Amino acid sequence: MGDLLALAVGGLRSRRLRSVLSAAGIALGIAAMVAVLGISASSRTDLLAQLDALGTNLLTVEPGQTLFGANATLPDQAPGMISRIGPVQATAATAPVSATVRRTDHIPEEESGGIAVRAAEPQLASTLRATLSSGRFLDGATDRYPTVVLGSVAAGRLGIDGVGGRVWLGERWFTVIGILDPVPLAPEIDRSALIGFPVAEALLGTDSAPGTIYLRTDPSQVDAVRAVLAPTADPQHPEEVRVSRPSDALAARRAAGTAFTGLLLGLGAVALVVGGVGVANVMVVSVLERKPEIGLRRALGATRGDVRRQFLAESLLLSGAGGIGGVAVGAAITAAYAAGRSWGVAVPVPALAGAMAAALLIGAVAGLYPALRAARLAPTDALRT
Amino acid sequence: MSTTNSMGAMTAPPVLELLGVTKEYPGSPPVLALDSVDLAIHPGELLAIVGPSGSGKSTLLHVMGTLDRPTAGTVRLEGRDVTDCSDAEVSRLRAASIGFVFQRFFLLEGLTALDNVAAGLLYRERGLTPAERRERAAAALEMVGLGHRLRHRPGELSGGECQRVAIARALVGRPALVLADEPTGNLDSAAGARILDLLLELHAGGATIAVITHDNEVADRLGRRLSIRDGRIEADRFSGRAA
Repeated sequence: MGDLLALAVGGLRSRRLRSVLSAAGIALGIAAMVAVLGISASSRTDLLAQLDALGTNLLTVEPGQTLFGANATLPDQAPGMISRIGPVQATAATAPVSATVRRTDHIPEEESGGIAVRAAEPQLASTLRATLSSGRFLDGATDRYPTVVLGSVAAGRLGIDGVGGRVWLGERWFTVIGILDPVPLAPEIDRSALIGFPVAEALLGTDSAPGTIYLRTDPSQVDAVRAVLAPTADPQHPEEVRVSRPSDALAARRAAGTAFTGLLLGLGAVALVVGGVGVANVMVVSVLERKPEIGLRRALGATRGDVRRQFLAESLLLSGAGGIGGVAVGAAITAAYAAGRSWGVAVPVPALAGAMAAALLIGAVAGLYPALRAARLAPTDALRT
Repeated sequence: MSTTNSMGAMTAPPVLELLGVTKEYPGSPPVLALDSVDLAIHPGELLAIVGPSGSGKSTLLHVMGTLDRPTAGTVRLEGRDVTDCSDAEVSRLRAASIGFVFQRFFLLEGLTALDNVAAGLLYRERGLTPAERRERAAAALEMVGLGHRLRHRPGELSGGECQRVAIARALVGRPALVLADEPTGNLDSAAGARILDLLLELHAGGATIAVITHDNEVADRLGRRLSIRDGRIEADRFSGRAA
């Protein structure tokens, strides 16, 4: 075994450049596959960490549509009913307000910037685990006065970068008291201007039919709560209630992103096969070039098996070296990419083992024919060349 | 034509024995390279097999060296009939009993002289460690006068030195028979003469050596001269030891 390894190393060392190039072909394929698997695993790990931080126990209840296609409304009691479901830990209702928000009153009303005005309960921030980039959220005091908290996108579009400014909301000035960080589980909040329910009713005369209701449940009871949400929110028309779990949407969005993983993996596999063809090519040429060596070894008493094993070992060594190099490069690419996105690095060990196995398998397949050919060579033919 | 051994080793069984060996290469018409050749080589002999090119010398060497199988007839190596052996068995017998020296040396370019010689033991005694093989290789190189060239690669050695390395490789396993195929053919006359001196010296030390050559000057210096022409043995003369 040691002799065989020494033979293979010696054989490859005497053709150094070609050996390195053909091993590089294998390394390229392996690196591509490891990097693809590593990056998608890192991305998945990051998603799990993100979901962990955001919580997967957030559910939303929204009015859907009636049987005839008209927009439905939720009963006023819906938030109260929902908050009385046992495992529900927190609820926060929002309601659409038919007003626009603009930078100043000089801007025409049509240019709303795609920003929705919503009335929100003070516990919305804690229910969504939303954080503020500046200022504070609505509370029992401020929600009676013309104050507004802006979502991150809304603040950007209005050109507001700090608290204390004013925006023209529903034909009067509102003071900005807080700006939210992006809320991954509720992107609609990012594009909203949030005001208190009391001020919405008092100043803008909004009827407070609930819009989206956000709720947190006991994490182990999410499915049970989800099942009873619609009939609880609207016992008469449960079919007009839309219930969703935003973390599912987030996961689905990320899954769509990783749909490319399969494609990239396929490309990596093609690169690997091309690398294998390279190894086979190098081995075939090597057998042709080394006829005298084969003849000599037969003359020294090498059996056909000895010759076959020698060439197979060289091929395996080539692809094995390529595999190790590829795994290292792939892991490095993964680490660099993950660092660039400030994800944690996750390189799946089974993928590494699989990559090595694939490299060796390719090496064995690529080396088999040349090795058989070398072994079949008649010693007299080999010596005559 | 006598088969009496001039060395007086008549009682010892032959190292190599060919009985009615015929080798025919297919084709139209088929080429008869060897035509029922009978030949026996006894331990301690030094013989020349001479003949013009195309006489069947190379085929004879290959058959004697078990690298090729005869179409008909029997080849016995140290008393064992090799004609019916499998490839693996023949390879083992070849490894144990025969050392080859080639006109073109066939040294491995990437290896030092020491490792080239050590390769001669690789298939012969499979239990040896690399260190043991190198030790014996060093002794063999010492024996051919290259004790000072152990670490040199073939590219750094002269033709005569390369052939000495090849001879050391053939002898390192102490084979029963050394087959040398035109060992001086690639060398200038001075280097060739020194190689021949070395073979005579090794023979004096007990080695059994068959030299295949078309060079009558070489053949004249060896004890027994076997002439071959058109696949037949034309003459088998013992001239005693010349030097």
